[in-house]
Amino acid sequence: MLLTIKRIFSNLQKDRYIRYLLILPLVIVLVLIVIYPFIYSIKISFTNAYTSNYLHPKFVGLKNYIWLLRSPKFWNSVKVSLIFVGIAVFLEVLVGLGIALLVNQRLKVKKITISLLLTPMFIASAIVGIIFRLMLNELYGVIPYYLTRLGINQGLLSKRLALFTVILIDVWQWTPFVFLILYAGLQTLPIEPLEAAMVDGASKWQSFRFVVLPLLSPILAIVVVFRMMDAFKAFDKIYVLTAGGPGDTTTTINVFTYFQAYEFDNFGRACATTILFLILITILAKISMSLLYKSKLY
Amino acid sequence: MKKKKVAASILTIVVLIGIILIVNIPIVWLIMTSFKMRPDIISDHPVWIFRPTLEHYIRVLARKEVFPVDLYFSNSLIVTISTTLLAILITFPAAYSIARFNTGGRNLSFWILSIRMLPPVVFLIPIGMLFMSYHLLDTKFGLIIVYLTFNIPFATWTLKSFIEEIPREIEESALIDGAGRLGVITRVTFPLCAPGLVAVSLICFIFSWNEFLYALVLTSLRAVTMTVGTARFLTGYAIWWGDISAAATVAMIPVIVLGFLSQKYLVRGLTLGAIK
Repeated sequence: MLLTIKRIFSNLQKDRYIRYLLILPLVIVLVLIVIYPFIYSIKISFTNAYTSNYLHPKFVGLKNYIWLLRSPKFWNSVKVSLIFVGIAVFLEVLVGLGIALLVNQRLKVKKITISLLLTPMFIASAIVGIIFRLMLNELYGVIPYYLTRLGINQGLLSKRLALFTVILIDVWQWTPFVFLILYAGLQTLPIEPLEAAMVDGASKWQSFRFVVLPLLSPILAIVVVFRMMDAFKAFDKIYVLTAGGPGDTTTTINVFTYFQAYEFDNFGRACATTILFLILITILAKISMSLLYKSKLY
Repeated sequence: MKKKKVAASILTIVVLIGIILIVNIPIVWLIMTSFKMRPDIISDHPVWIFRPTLEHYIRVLARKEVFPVDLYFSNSLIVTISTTLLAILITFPAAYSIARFNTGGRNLSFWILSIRMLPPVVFLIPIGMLFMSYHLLDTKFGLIIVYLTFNIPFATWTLKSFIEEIPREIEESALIDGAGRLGVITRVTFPLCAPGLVAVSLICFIFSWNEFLYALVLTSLRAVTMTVGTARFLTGYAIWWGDISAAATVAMIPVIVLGFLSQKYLVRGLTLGAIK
């Protein structure tokens, strides 16, 4: 008996078995918290589930999906999400790259400078929302006060500008991330090609455009992918700052889904939205993954 | 030529100082507000110099029935630390298996990575419903489990990159000396991976501490975290900005400190090991 146990144990110690044994806890947990909820979500998306009937909801077929695909509000949220992600990530990469190039010069207090440039990315997005709700307050906010002094009398949280404001706040919060990664990327670049370009008499712009940028492109790809995926997740600060308003102007897919589930108590429809959202993200992720793959860094 | 260079470097410094101000003023403004008296907060022009007061902090700490700050803070701490430890416990062996034996191949590891990219609402709604059935709503345990959805993919990938860097030869010599594979992992690889474990812990801590959406929906009274508790202050007609700022400052300071401490590992952690 003891011998059999011993043999089983020594067999388990062999790499052939142990590799699966080691990964088993992870697989079990992912099945429980990722795959099971996902399958459950698909099931619920074909029903009319809400809080009091969710254990035995009525099967409604494709009704939720048809409602969504016909709903201008749903398409509006897709549009808002795409605008938010597109413009925010574009600006973050542009500004982040600029700052990275600025810091990448001979500076005396580099370490402290870098530290001081990173603060926003550590703060909870919900608190970022609180900070800007305070600063954008119509009556006593600092930002409207100075804008009025400069002769700009626009309500930054008005229907016309709210999305733009939320984008700028995202840029404020996440440009530090882009800067940090791109700066680290610049650090890893080989110095020889740049020297060769200098010898050949390339201007600063030329050596940036034709030497630095191509060398940096794998890292740029990583930054764009990570920022894009995280920007699609943005919820906290929008919820705290505008709750999707005024009207639907800042209702991203996240906010839309949240309201379907927890304001309108329509879990079936909310699950259908997440499935559609998932399809959109999967398409984008496929593109992103091939970008990452090409970057050869993974 | 020299003059031009000096002018350029002065310009660089001025621009950088400007950027540093833009980056930090909103945070400083929040902290300043938490020390201002009410008239200074709602004054019709911004007040930059003022007589500081601790009244908001005292009130936040004293009015436990409105804002049980000790409960929220300890909830955040317990949930954050537990989910971080649990994530490491689950992902370290898995990361080892992937790094050393390429278990599951590219498909598995990229599938794990793709979980990192999914928006939380996708999990939130089904998990919220399942929590209702399993009576896990408003429990710290529930939050600890849910936070694994974002901590596991991150930790697996980052640890994998750290383990790959440990030379196989070190493990092999221990294996030849008669140690079993499990012994090698716990006694050789695990300690050698210490920097990776520190990096992962710090970043998991920051992610989990800052999490908002799950805690907003899945907790109501007993398991409310610091971020959600602070944001709940915002409802109602009169917003008590002093109190909110004080609570937000308390919620914010630990992660800012940790953020600066983890700076060395940040790039590597945030790119999941791609850039070292």
